[in-house]
Amino acid sequence: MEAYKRNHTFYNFDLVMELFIKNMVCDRCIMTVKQALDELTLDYDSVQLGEVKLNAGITGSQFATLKEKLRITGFELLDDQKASLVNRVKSCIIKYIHSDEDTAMNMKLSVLLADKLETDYNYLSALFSSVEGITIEKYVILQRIERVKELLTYNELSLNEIAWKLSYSSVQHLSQQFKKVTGLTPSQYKQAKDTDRKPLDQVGS
Amino acid sequence: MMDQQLKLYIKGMVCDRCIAVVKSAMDDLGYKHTDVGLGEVTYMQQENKLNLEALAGRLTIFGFSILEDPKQRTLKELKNLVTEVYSGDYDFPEKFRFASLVKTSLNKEYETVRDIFIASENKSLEQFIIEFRINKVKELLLYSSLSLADIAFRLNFTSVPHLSTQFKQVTGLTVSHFRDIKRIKADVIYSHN
Repeated sequence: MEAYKRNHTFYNFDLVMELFIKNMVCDRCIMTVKQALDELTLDYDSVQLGEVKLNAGITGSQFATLKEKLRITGFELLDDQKASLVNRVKSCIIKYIHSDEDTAMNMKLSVLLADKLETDYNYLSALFSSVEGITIEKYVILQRIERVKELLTYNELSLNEIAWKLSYSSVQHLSQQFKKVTGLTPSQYKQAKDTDRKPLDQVGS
Repeated sequence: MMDQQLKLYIKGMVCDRCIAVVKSAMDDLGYKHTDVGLGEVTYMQQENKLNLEALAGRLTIFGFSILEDPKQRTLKELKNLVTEVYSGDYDFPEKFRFASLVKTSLNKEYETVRDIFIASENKSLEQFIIEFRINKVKELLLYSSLSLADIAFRLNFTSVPHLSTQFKQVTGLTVSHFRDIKRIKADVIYSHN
């Protein structure tokens, strides 16, 4: 643990009230994380996508145990500030694209991100690209196409309605982008036997 | 039927945790080692039938839902639409065409919908509509005091003769004959509906 502390000098565990967790994308993820916290009897205020707010500080060994527990379920407890910030950007984007509230889409993403994370967008953008190897814009496109795939498999909305729901300027725009990313047209995708959907935490990697 | 592979489609799954949750729900119902993918469950039919309602109940807690078979859903929507249009209270626009209504309200091509209908009902959609409409005529003749012209208008027949001809074609009776015998035959016809 001492070596761990030396390498992560900015982390004073007693003062840690906020934890950042990678790969959380949906309500089931939140549930899983809550379970892990409960098992360690860590008192938390709230658990959101990628973010846990604790009511009390966490000890170094608790941190390590939690990290291991989360790793088993496919998450990563982040202890690096830059990685945490990138992770928050991702969570924000996932919420923005995959939530069912239509209103969320009205805001420009760059404004939303800068606003939510209280950080300059140019900085976020540069950091994201350097850590992830793709730009924020590209990541958003990939997430959005994943959402289109999901909606297509449900067979409930027409392509027109999907385009509108996801704020594409037109069906043509959606179709073109879809083909560019997946190599298939939306209707070809619908007919394909293997849907080939990606877990949201693996999009863009 | 044993050894039959069945598929379920589930709405709301987006990651590996979702898969784990659905897997354990299937486990609880006695279906171990099910193949679960994003949005899809493939399982082998066992002796005790999978209790879909119990599964749906469990999944709802986690924010999932089981998707209805798309064809069944289309069929249901289509029948609802026919019922709505030929209820006797529908406000028909000028140059009404059922095919274009299908397109605007179900958002599907008429040809597609028609083929689905034929495949599962073993009669054409047109035939179904004709029968439904004539049954409605009978109902209105029996239970309302509307004139034949009124009925023709309410069900969008182009004219009274059009109604009469089709009525004769389907039932073998003329409208006036049906009216004459309606009191005597009311019970019989009612049970046919």
